[in-house]
Amino acid sequence: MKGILPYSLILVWLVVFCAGVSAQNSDTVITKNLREIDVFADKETNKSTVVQALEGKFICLMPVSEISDVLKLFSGLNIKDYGGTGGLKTVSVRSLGASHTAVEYDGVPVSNTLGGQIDISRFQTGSVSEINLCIGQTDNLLKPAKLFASGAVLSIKSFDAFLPEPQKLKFNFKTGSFGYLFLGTDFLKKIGKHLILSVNADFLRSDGMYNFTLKNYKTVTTEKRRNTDIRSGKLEFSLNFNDSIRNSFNIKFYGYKSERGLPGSVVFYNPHAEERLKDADFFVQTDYKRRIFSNLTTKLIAKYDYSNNYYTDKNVMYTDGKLKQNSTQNEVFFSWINLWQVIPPLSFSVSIDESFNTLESDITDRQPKRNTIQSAANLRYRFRNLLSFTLGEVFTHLREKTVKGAHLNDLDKFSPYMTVEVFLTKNFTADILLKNTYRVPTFNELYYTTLGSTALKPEDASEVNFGVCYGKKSWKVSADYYYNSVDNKIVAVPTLYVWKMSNCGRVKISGADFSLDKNFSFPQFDMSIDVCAKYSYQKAVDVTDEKSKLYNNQIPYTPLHSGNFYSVFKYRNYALSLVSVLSGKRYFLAYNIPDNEISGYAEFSASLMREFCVKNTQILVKFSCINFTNEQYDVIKFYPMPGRQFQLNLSLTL
Amino acid sequence: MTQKFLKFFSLSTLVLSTCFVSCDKEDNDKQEPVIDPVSRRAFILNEGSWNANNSTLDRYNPYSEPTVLEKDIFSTANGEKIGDTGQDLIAYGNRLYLSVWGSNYLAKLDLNGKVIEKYQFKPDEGQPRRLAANGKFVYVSTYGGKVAKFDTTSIVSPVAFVEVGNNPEGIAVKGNYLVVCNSQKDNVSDNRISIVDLSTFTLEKHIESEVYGNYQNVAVVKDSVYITYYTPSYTVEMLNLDINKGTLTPSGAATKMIGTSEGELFCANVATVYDENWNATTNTSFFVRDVKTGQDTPILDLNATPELTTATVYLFDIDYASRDLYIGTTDYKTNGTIYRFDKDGKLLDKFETSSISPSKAVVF
Repeated sequence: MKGILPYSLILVWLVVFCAGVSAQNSDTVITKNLREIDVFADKETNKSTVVQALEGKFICLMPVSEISDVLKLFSGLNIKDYGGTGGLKTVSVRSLGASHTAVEYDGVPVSNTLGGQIDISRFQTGSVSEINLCIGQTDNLLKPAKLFASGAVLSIKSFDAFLPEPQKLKFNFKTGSFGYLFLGTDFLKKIGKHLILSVNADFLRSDGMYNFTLKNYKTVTTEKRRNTDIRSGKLEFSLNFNDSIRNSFNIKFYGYKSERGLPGSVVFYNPHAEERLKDADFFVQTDYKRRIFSNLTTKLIAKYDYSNNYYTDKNVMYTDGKLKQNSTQNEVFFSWINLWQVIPPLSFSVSIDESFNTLESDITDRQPKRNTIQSAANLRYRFRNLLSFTLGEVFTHLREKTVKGAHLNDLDKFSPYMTVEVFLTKNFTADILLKNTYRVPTFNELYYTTLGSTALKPEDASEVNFGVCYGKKSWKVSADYYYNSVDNKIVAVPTLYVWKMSNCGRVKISGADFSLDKNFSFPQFDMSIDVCAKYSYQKAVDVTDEKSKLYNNQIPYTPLHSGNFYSVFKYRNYALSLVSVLSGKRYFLAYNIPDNEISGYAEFSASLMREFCVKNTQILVKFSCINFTNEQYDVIKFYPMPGRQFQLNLSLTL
Repeated sequence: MTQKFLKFFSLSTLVLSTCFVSCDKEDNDKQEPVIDPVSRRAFILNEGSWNANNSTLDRYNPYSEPTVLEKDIFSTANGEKIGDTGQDLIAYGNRLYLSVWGSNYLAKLDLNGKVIEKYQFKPDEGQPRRLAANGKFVYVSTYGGKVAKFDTTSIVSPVAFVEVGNNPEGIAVKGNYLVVCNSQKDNVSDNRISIVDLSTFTLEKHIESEVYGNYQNVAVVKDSVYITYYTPSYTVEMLNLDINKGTLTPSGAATKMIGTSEGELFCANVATVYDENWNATTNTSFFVRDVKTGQDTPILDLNATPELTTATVYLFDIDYASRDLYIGTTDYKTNGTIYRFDKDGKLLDKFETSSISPSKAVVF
C-alpha cells in the first residue's frame, strides 16, 4: 500500500481531473428523463464497500435509546462506552482508533479538532431516520472530501424529508430507571409543494446513580455510581426544499447544551468525584444540490460550528481548590462537490473542502488556527452488471498558525484508495477494498500544556478488505476478511517529568466479520420475524518494538471474539424484540497477563411494542428491559455499566 | 480531565522519586547490625498505573536458596487490594506504613501485609504522598499543602496538620526539623522548602530560592541534607541544603538518592535526552558520593545487566544491614524488574515484580 500505489493513484487523479474539467463544457446538452436523473444523481453508490445500516423505523422497535446502542449491533466496531447516560461513547472501527472514524450528520461532517473523537452520546435514536456505517469508504460519491479521508464514516440522518401528509406532530416521552426522563417533539410541515419545515426539540435528564457490583480481589460489594447526573437540551430547526427535478436545498440550525457530572473511574476506597462538564454547541449548516445536466450534479455545503466545553474539578491540590478549563472551538467549513457521469459506465466526482478551525482555551497559550484544504477525486467504472471499480485519492493541504510558539508542521499529503466489486452471479458478490488513510494530530495532542508535542506527524493507517456476500430476497450472508495497520500511532510516552505525545506506536490488525440476516414473512398471518447474527474475530497486536514484552500483545479493549444477535418478531401491531451483545475477554492494559484481563460479557435486552390509532392519533407504546439478566460488566475497566434497567416509551403522532 | 491525568503523572511517575525519605538518620541508627536471615525480608511496593487499582506489595526473601518472591501479599492478607497508586512505604517499629495516593489513605500493616489500622483522608486534607517517621510519630505530606502527623500507637485519626508549601512531596527528619520539599501547583513551581519544628509541629520557616523550585525529594546524610528538584528544562539536579543558613548549593545531578548514617550518598542518575518526537536516549549511571570530600565513585558491575545502563530506574533502595542495593526499573506498561546487587556491586538476583513501576523497597 505504501509503495507505488499512492503515486500511481496521484497520476490517475491528475489525469482524470484534467480530463474531467476539460470534458465538462462539451457535455452540457445531455438530457434524461426525470426517473433516470433521480437514479443517477441522488445516490451514486457502490456496495463493494462494507456498509452496515439500520433504519429508524426498525430501530424504534428495539430496546435501544442511544446511537451507541445501535452501533453495538454492527460488526467490526469497538464502542468505548464509559457507562451511564452521560458517559462518553466513541466508535473505533476495526481497532483503527476513534479519531479515524468520521461522523456526518445529515450529510455534513461533524468535527472535533480539540479531541479528535466524536462523542456520539449526544445523538438519540428518537429523531433518527437512518444510521449507516461505511467501513473504509463512504459509498456515495456525492460527499465532501473530508469523508473520503477517514478510515470509516458514520452517517446519521435525522429524518426523512419525504412527508406524505401536510403536517406531522410527534411527541416522544421516555422514562426509566435511574431517574431517566426524555421529552421530545418533532414538528414537520409542508409549506407549498416542495418545502418542508421541521422543528425538533428534546430534553433529557438522568440521575444515573446506578448500583454496580465491585469486585476487589476476594471482596465483593455493591456500590453506587456517583456524580453521574446529566441534563441536556437540543433544539433543531430545518428547512428542506426539494423540487424533485433539479434542485434541493437544506438549511439546519442546531443548538445543544448539556451539563453533566463525570464519575471518573472507580477508585478503590475513594468514591469522591467532583468533575463536571458543561457543553454548548451551535451550528448552522446548509447545502444546495443542483442537477445541472442529466449527468452532472453539483453540491455546495457550508457550515459554521461553535462549541464550548467548560470542565471543572475540585481538589485542594489546585489553586483555590478548583481547576477550571474553558475551551471554545470555531469551525467554518465549505465543500463543493461535482458528480459527473462521463459516459454511462463511467462516473467521476471531485470534492473540494476548505475548513478553518480555531481554538481558544485555558489548556494552552498557543491559541491555534488551522486551515485545511482537502480535495477528493473518484473515478468509478461499472462494466455491465459484472464489475464495479472505484479509484480515488484525497489530497490534504494543511497550514496551522499559533499566536506564539511552535505549531504543527505544514502538511501536504495524498491518500489513495480503491474498491472493486465483482458480481459473480445475480446474488453473489465479492469485493476488495484497499485504502490508505491517516488522521491529523488534534489540538490536545499538539498543544495541551506540557503534554502536547508540536513535532507530531499524522497517524497513518492502511486498510485491506476482502468480502463476499450472498443474498436473496429474504436472507443474506456475508463474510469479510480484513487486514489493517496503524503506523506512527500517536500515544503518550513517559518522560522524566510528564507524559508527552509521540508518534511511536505500531499496530497490526487482522480479522474477519461474518453476518447472517434472515427474514421470515407470513403475510397470511400479518406476521414476520427478522433475525440477524454477527460474529467478529479480531487480532490487533502491538508491533512497536520487537524487544518489548508488549510485542505481539493484543491491544487494550479489543476482544478476540465478539458478536451480537437480534430478532424482531412482528405480529399485526405488536413487535417483540430481543437484542444481545456478546464480547470475549479483553485486556485493559497493554501487557497481556491474567491480572490485566477483563472478563467477557453477554448483555441481553428485550422490548415489547404496540402501535395503534385513537382517532387520528398514532400511538406507540414500548416497554424495554435493558440488560434483563442484570449482567455486571465493564466495557472500560472501572467504568461499570448499568445493570438491569426498565424503560417506557410513549410516542404520539398527530 | 486531562489536566488531572497530567497532574497525576507529572508527580507520580517521577523517575527521581526518592526512596529515602522514610529512612532518616534516626531510623538508620536503629538498624540491627546483625542480620537475621530467618525473619529479614524486603517489602517491595509496586505503584501500579493510574486508575487501574493495581498497586501491589511483594515480599522478597533474599536469604532463602533459591530466593523467594511472595507476590501481592497485601491482597492475600486482606482479601482486597491496595487500590490506586501505592505512593510510599516505610518500615518503622516493626510495622509497615503505606500511603496510597488515589485511594487516599494511610495504612499501618503487619509484616504479612495485613492492615492493622487505616486512615482515610478527607477531601480538604489532600491526598497522601510521602512518609517519614520519628519518635512515636509518622508524618505524611499531602497534596493539600499540608503535612499530617500520626501517633504510631493509633493512626485512625491524625494528631495534627501543619500548613507547608504547595503540593509537598518528599519529607525527611533532620534533627528536630522536618524538611519538606514543595513541588508545584497548576504548573507553577514552588520555590520554598518548608522547615517544620517537630517539637511544636509548627512551621519554623520557609527557605526560598530565586533560582530553584519544584523540589521533589530529600535525603539526610549524617549532617548534610540533599534535595532534588526539577530544572526549568525538566532535568533533575541535586542541591545541598543548609538549614541554618537557609542556603541551597548546586550539587550535581541524580534522579534517586539514598543517604546513610556513614556519610555516603548513593545515587542513581537517569540522564535522558529527547529528540523532537520525544524518543529518549537514556544514559543511566550509579555512583556513591562521599559527602565529606564530595568525591563521586561509580558503583555496580553492570556487565551482567547491560540493560541497566539505559533503564529508567524507578526504585533505588538499600538494605542498611547487608548494604545490598535494590534497583527497580519500569517501562510504565509491564511489570517491573528488580535487580539486587551486593555491597561490592555484584549482581545477586534479578526478578519480575507483581505489577507496574516498583517504586519502593524496605528491608526489615
